[in-house]
Amino acid sequence: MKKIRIVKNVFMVVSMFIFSIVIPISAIAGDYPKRPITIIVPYSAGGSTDIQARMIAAHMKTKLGQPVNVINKPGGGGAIGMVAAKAARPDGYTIILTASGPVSVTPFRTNAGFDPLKDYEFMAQLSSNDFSLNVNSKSGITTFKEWAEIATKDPAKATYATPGAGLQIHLVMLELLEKMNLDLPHVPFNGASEAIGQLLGEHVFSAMVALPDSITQYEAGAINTLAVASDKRHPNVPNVPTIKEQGYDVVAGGWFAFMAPKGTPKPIIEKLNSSIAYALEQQDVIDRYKKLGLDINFTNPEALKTFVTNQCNKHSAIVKKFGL
Amino acid sequence: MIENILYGLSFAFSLSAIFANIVGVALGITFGALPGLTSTMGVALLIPLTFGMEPVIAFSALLGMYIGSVYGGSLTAIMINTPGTPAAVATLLEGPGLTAKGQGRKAMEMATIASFVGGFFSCMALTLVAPQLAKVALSFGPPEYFAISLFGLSIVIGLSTNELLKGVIAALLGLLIATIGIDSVSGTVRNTFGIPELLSGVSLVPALVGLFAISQVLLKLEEWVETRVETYSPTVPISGEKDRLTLKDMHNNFWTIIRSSVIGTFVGLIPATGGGTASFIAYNETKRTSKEPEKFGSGHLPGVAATEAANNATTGGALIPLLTLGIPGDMVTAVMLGALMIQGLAPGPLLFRDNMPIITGIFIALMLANVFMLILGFNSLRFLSKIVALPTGLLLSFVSVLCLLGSYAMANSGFDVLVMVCFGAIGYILTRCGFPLAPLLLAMILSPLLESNFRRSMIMSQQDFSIFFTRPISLVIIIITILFLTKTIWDETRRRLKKARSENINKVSSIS
Repeated sequence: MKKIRIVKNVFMVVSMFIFSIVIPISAIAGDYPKRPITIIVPYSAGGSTDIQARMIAAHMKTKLGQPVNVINKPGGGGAIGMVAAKAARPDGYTIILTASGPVSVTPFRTNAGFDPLKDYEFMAQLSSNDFSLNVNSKSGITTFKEWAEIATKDPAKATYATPGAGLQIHLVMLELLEKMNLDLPHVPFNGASEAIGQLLGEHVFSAMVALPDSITQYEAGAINTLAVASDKRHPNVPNVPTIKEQGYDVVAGGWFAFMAPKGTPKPIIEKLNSSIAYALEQQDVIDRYKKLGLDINFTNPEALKTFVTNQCNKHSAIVKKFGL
Repeated sequence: MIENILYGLSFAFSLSAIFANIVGVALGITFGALPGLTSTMGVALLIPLTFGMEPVIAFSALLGMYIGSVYGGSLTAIMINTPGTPAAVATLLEGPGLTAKGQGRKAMEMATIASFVGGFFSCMALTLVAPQLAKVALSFGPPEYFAISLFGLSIVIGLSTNELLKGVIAALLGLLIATIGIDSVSGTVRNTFGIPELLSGVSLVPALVGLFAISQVLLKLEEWVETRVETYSPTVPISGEKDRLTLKDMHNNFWTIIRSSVIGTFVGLIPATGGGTASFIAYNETKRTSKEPEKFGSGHLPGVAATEAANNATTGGALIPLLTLGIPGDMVTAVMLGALMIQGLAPGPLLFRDNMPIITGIFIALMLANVFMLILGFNSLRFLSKIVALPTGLLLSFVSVLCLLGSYAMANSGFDVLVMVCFGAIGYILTRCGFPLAPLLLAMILSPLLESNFRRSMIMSQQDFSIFFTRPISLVIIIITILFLTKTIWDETRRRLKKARSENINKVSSIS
């Protein structure tokens, strides 16, 4: 008798569990959103991804009429947050604000537990930043050409710092150095602040970091920014040439984008996309982006998908070539 | 100049700024005291709320949170033998011992005063000589970082008196654990056994909560299972009015506090090092220079004074490179960098030229935060000192739940809870086998600095070891380390010989 009761109870629990998964999936789009939305941020609170998520969330809330919460799932170079987003229910109530590193670099270097192109729906690109190559202004080097000459003459001393080994910026440097036929010693640090600090202390010869991380020091005259890796010159530093202008076809930059678990219904993606667009039009958001030094760069889901696919192909090829 | 100060005063003393400051300090003390919730997290969570505020009001709240949380960690460390934050770990060496003697309140009062002096001292250093000190921060390259972490690691010896071998083994275990995760120099993945959660290494906070708090809970539980004593009784006697901090205690610890404040300020201003390292170094210095080093380890007041002055002194220290150079001095100030940017105050040399009134306001807010910490801290001690009056069973359950919540909240990760439980077991086993835990944690804190900077130095020098001995700062630190090690080992050997001789004499006399 007792055994039967246990079986019955187990059956009840299991069926309730199944229902609880199935029902929310079937109730889609029309009256979305009915409850609070969660944005996963694959980095710690207080970083630039987190700050963007919280700024956007505040305005998405007004547009969607439901609270939008930000939850940090840091770790593994963003992999932990990506895996959490992959595992979330594809009902539009859990989305992720992620960045170029976790999406297009990490999964090609190690088994991170997700496939960026197969496990997610693309929603919207949000913003981007340029990468800059810098030297300490005490070095007297003011142009990319001078830097290249010294590096060619004495490559052993021409160290370069990056915010971390195997990060996107490191890949860009490898790509550039290969085109220049140079092999310089790489000194990776933990984050851009450390790399810039070491450059200021003249412990490294040059450093490549994201432009927002170097621009203050450039404006203060402490460092010379020799080139940016973008397609066009950046309006904040109009006097700094691009690497392309110097004759090396290296075009790269960091980007931030919203993605959702695979299977999230299209109408929901569209609705979220337009609420993100709305947030990016608000004056206070525009002002804060300017202060952070990040460039607003909004795209629709299709454009994001093509862009990310290209980025993944490009980065996986570099990773393979250099055996990272 | 005077005009700037007046503006600064009017910003920092505005009603809303003072209110924000007090709320920040109160929240900070709570955050710091709860195991698992750290200063970094507190400040990060507060930042979005300050988006719309005036800069000085925003920073009153953030700095209040920072100061309060660094101090708050000491309270849990002293009262319930649980580190509230990584910076408070060194306080575990003496704090709980004092509580066990019924001097918990005295220890907390000492911690409060020491934190205030340390915090205020570093704040004055920030206000008066920041640009000069910032040069020190810049002079630290990879070889210097390697040297200072080597020095930090040599403290293991001071932390494991009588158990030197076991202390070294514990430290080696810590170094081994720290290799887990993505190697920061080559970028390769090490010892993760395919678990993505381990890619960024074992999270420090859950590990330390497990090591120190959960292992204590298990030990107490074991005691209860063995003896079956009635647990519905207070753990230790409540400290009476007699055991309060006296002027004599303050007088005796005056130099300890000043010395530790200087250590804390210097360690704070070197980027990538923080309160944990500073308090261990200060503790070791205090023990080394003490006339009665044998008293350390089982509840000695100067130990608490040293660690708490040092960890709060890192606050002003860490703000020095942040504000003058735009290079954060520790994890918390790294988060504050974002807050400064969003206020349009890009830190660096130009900040002082363009925004002097606001900077003066921020300096004054920092001083105020230290004062509020002193006042709020002292007022909370009366209630906090009664925690130990709780029945053991209740207290242990309470601690376990807090640890569980804290380690989950750190990164919203169930895996971290698992890490905490595992380290609880490791801590329990190690303690039962007589291994000291502090060396293990110290090694975990220092290992990333030690290893990556060794390798960065070798890259810089084309694999030439001479880089460590040809750069003056690195050379001096390495010489100090060697002298320190030789002296400790020499003293220890002499002490043992003496002990062995006196034991022999005793044996002889008892036979006759």
